[in-house]
This record gives sequence, C-alpha cells and structure tokens, in this order.
Amino acid sequence: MGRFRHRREASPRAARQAREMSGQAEQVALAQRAAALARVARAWEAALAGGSAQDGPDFEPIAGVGLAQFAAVSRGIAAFGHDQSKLGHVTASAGIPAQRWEIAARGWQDRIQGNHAVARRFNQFYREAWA
Amino acid sequence: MSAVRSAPEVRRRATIVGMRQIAMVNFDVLMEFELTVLQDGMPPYPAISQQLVGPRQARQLGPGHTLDASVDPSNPAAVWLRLEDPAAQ
Repeated sequence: MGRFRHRREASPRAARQAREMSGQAEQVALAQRAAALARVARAWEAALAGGSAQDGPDFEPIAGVGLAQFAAVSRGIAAFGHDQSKLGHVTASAGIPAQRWEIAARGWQDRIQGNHAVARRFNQFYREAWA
Repeated sequence: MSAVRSAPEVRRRATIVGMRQIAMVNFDVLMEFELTVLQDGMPPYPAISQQLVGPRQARQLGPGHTLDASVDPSNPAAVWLRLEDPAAQ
C-alpha cells in the first residue's frame, strides 16, 4: 500500500520532469540543426572560394559572411519560427560575432533589394540549406 | 503557396525574384511570384505568392521590383503583395 501511495505522489513530479526534458531535448536538437547548417555553409563557401564561381562584386562576402552562410543562418532563424531572441544564438553557433553579423545582414539585405540576381541566389542557398 | 489575407497582418517589403503566369481569370492574370521577404532587424526568407493582377499591372511588374507586402504573422510563408497600393511600389 505504502509503495502505491508513494508512486501516486511521485507521478506528477515525474511527468513535469519528463516534459522539461522533452523541451530541453527539442531545444538542443534545433540548436544542433542550426549549427550543422552553418557548418555546411562554411564548407560550401570554402569550396566556392577555391573555384571560379564568382559573379561580380555583389556576391563578395560582407564582413566575412558570404551569401551561402548568410542564407544558412537565415534558415537557422526560421527553424526557430523567426524568433528574434534566437538570432544571437544562431549566429554564435555559426561562429559569427554579433557586430559582424549586423554589418553583413544590413549589407546583404541592401544587395538583395538592389540586385535580383543576388535575391535569386539567396533563395537557392536558403532552400538548399533546408534540404 | 497561395497567400490568404487574414487579420492581423504585418507589413514587410518583398523583392520579386521571378514571376510566371498561371492562368487567366476573366480579364485578370493569375500570377505566381517568387519573392524574397525582407524583415527589419531579421534575416530575409523566400516565399511564393499567387495572386490576381490586372493585365496592365502584370506588364509593369518584374524581377527586381521591391514592393510592400502583407504577411500573416502566424504563417510567415503566407505573403501577399500589396499591388492595390500605388504608394507601395
């Protein structure tokens, strides 16, 4: 009897712990996915830098952030439901300091508005980061 | 994805990356727009919008144009170009 009563008392606490662990696991999984996307983008950028895939000055990296990496980080934010509070976490996971990210984000947005070829390439990189 | 307007909506800017004619509906054209949606303080994202436009307006629009757009905050993929607002263009 005593054992059963103990089990009943422990049950709500166990359920709460299970919910907390599930939430934490989800956060960790999302963070790992964002970091993986950033790693893929960095590898891709390195490959492009060594090749001949240059399309003019509008495709040059801004503050060390290339278009593929910008798209991958943008996709990483979308994985968090475009939650602005997660921006710092995702950029840090991609190894981009906040100050550099601000410069890069502003610059890439300007180029996207000014050159639709940049916008098209951004969309391609973004969708490939999702695949 | 077809965008459906619902309140409340948030205003964004969207750059047309590509567009194609899907169908004619009476004298209007059902167009599909490939967009890059720009958000203040947040990174952009791609979206597709299908909407009816007048034939004259369809000729005036093209890749590279950046217009005002409405976005459903609960579904950022639901984007609607505000073609009816001349000041938006």
